[in-house]
Amino acid sequence: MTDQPLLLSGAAFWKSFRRNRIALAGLIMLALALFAAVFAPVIAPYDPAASVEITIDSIYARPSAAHLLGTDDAGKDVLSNFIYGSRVSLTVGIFASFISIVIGGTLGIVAGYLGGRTERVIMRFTDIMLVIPDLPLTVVIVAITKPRLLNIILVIGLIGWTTTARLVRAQTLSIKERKFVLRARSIGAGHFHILRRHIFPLVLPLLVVNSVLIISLAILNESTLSFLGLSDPTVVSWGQMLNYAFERGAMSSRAWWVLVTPGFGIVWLVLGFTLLGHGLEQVLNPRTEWHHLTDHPLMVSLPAFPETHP
Amino acid sequence: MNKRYTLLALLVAFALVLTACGGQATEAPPSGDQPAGETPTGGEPAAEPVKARIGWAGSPDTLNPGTAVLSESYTIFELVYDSMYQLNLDGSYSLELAESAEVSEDGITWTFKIRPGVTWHDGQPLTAHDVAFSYNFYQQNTDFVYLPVYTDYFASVEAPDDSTVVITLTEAIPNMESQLIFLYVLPEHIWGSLDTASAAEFENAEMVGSGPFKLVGYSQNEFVELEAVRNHPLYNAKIDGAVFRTYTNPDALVQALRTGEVDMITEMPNTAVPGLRAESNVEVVVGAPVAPEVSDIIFNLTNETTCPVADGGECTGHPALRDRQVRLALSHATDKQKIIDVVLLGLGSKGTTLIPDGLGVWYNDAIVDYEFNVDLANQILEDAGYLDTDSDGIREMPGGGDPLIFRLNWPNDSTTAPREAELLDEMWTLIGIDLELQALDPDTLTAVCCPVFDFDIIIWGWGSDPDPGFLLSVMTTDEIPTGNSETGYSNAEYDALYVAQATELDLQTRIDVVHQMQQIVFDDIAYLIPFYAQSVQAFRTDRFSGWVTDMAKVALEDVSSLLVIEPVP
Repeated sequence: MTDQPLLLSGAAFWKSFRRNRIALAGLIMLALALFAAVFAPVIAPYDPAASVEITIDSIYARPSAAHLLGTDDAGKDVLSNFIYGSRVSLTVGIFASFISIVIGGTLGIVAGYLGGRTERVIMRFTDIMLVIPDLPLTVVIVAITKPRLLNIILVIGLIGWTTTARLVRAQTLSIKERKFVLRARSIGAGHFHILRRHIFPLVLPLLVVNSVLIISLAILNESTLSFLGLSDPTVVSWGQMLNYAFERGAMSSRAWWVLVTPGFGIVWLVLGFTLLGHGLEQVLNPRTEWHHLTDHPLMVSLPAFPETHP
Repeated sequence: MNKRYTLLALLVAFALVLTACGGQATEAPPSGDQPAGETPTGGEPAAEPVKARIGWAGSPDTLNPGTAVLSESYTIFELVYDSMYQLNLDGSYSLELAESAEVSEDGITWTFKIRPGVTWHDGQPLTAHDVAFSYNFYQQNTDFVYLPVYTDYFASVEAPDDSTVVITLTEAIPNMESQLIFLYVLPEHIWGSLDTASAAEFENAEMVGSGPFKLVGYSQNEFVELEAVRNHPLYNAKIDGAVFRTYTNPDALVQALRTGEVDMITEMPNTAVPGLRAESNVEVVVGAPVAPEVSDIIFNLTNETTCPVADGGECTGHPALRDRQVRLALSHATDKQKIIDVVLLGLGSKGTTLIPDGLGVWYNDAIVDYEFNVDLANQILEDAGYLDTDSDGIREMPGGGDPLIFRLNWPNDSTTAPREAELLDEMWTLIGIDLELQALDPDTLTAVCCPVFDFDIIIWGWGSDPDPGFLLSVMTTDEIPTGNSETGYSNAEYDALYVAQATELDLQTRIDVVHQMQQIVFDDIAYLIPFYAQSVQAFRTDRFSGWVTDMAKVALEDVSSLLVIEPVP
């Protein structure tokens, strides 16, 4: 058995990715959302922060040429709010997930590689964090800190790393028993070298897939907080749009556009990241596509991936 | 007036505000708990009784008048019990159980003659002994939440015979009627056997009263069913009864009226008004509420001398807010009409002081509000030395100290405060003031508010009695350590006037004093009162006619309407 590449090269990756329809669909969905977020001031027909004159009869205006998705309880353009709202979801999702992955990845690798007392301490701490219900904890922390966007990113990121830590530890445990690790160690490689050159590259695909999937969770967490009225009130977000619609009688006014639009946005992003995540998983770990009885040379040399669903 | 009075009244006032703000939404209903069926009790006679079906967002917390705090409970008490006086929708009082009332020259002894022929719903006659028992009962049960405070000035209550009640006061008071309206008369033959502990736990599920309606069915958070009492000496309802149904979601409440599941709704989001106005067979009524709510923007005014350190005072308020010039600038920079337009959709009037216009004569309508003028506001800050020395758009304390960044908090269950906060942020930015906005759950807000004073500005509110006494007490120096005072406002002249009005017997003189007190707090800008909200109700025109909609105050669920509406043929 000759050496198979343990990581796909860039070109090979793209070739494989392109053929994966799920991954491609997710990527296109996210590209659209990212485009909307980045160019929000250009695309959005109105500025959400601008002051609007309203009367009791002008609220919840139906979709029209002037307001393609109607207006909300304060007479503001729903489409513009929707476009600007994608910024919050994407920002929180990406940054919070990055924090989670850095913490979870580091703790998982260290625990899995070092083993012994260090592992026990880290994993018990992870277990404790894992059993604390996320939402109440998030609500409490946000309540005692200021609801700035940065704080919300930190809180969601600092709470969401536990599953990553467990997955990465399991993966590391399996990798460190490999022959090439033993070989490296026997020719005198240090811990850091082994971690950097042999373990981390094999954990990386798992981290990538996991981070994409965690973004979905972070987006849902942020929307939940905004819906409860606990997020930064000065920034338009989809959860906040839903909160206003719910609290201020959108249903009674039959203003479906105020409820459907942000809901659609959340589904779009979460679905996009989930599709991308699963697609990436298939591309980076072809084993998931094959039945375990299929005999394929790659199976032998590619690392065994544990289930990566969060 | 002692502290307990105000503290307990605070709890009630607070509860009223909470219910009104939609606090009930936090009580998650058991799944599938929508009120079902036409008449939940079943087993009805052949002729279908005609009952008014009323939808509301809350439910009584208990049927025991001693322990009830939610306004829904009091709505039911008003219908099932009688008291000596009743409060009319035009703000006046009229005799209810009493046939006549006489007061001695010195104002100390009140003699009431009880109307003959009134019986309890179980058939027993109602006598003066029941009245005397009830008043004494409320006075003795000091752990009752709300009602004992109204007996604070009673030295003794006696019933010399079956039809006479004599109340002797400790001192003459100007507002006897408002003390008596909530003191519901209870049947001695049922309540007489209860001691203090059992009275507080008594559920009163079989509620026996003497009013125009009797209770026939009750399930908390589901429904309250009432039946009209026939051959009542005082009342003769044209309907057979009324059913109050609870809808914990405001949208579901509005929908129930639309589909004809209920005939009237007691409250609704203002945003639903245009939709319902467009509906055929539905009429929307807007008017002054019976128990007005005041929305206030609270400034933390505490300083070294007024901070209630012994009671946990931390007094971390921004020093700039202690300067009247800053508060004056904030007043000039606040476009109240804009707030009313956005937050209330126009269904409200501009506020000036804590005494709302709904209190009629007590409201000082001569106060001229600070004009909305951003340039003037900027000039005031400029003149007072609050300059933007580092050109970041935010002014600093005179001499280049801390920037004028204020924390602004509100209860996260409020449906109006988030939009209001958003607008204040927008308006005050224009005068170089930055806000840190944060919604807090009501418990946390109470904890930072008072008497801790760990805040800068809070958007909150009060529910009001018909008498202005309680709301006036909120601004006295004595209330700073108790936590009733939310601002830490202290003014010796105001305090003296408060004492004077409490025992002023001449109505006009008391009104003048109350007006003067409002002018003082308005001039000192202890609060910024953005608006007085109107009450919004709606009813179906195809079921009952005769709803009372032309009074100064709107309360379709009040006796005044339920006694006169009749089925549409």
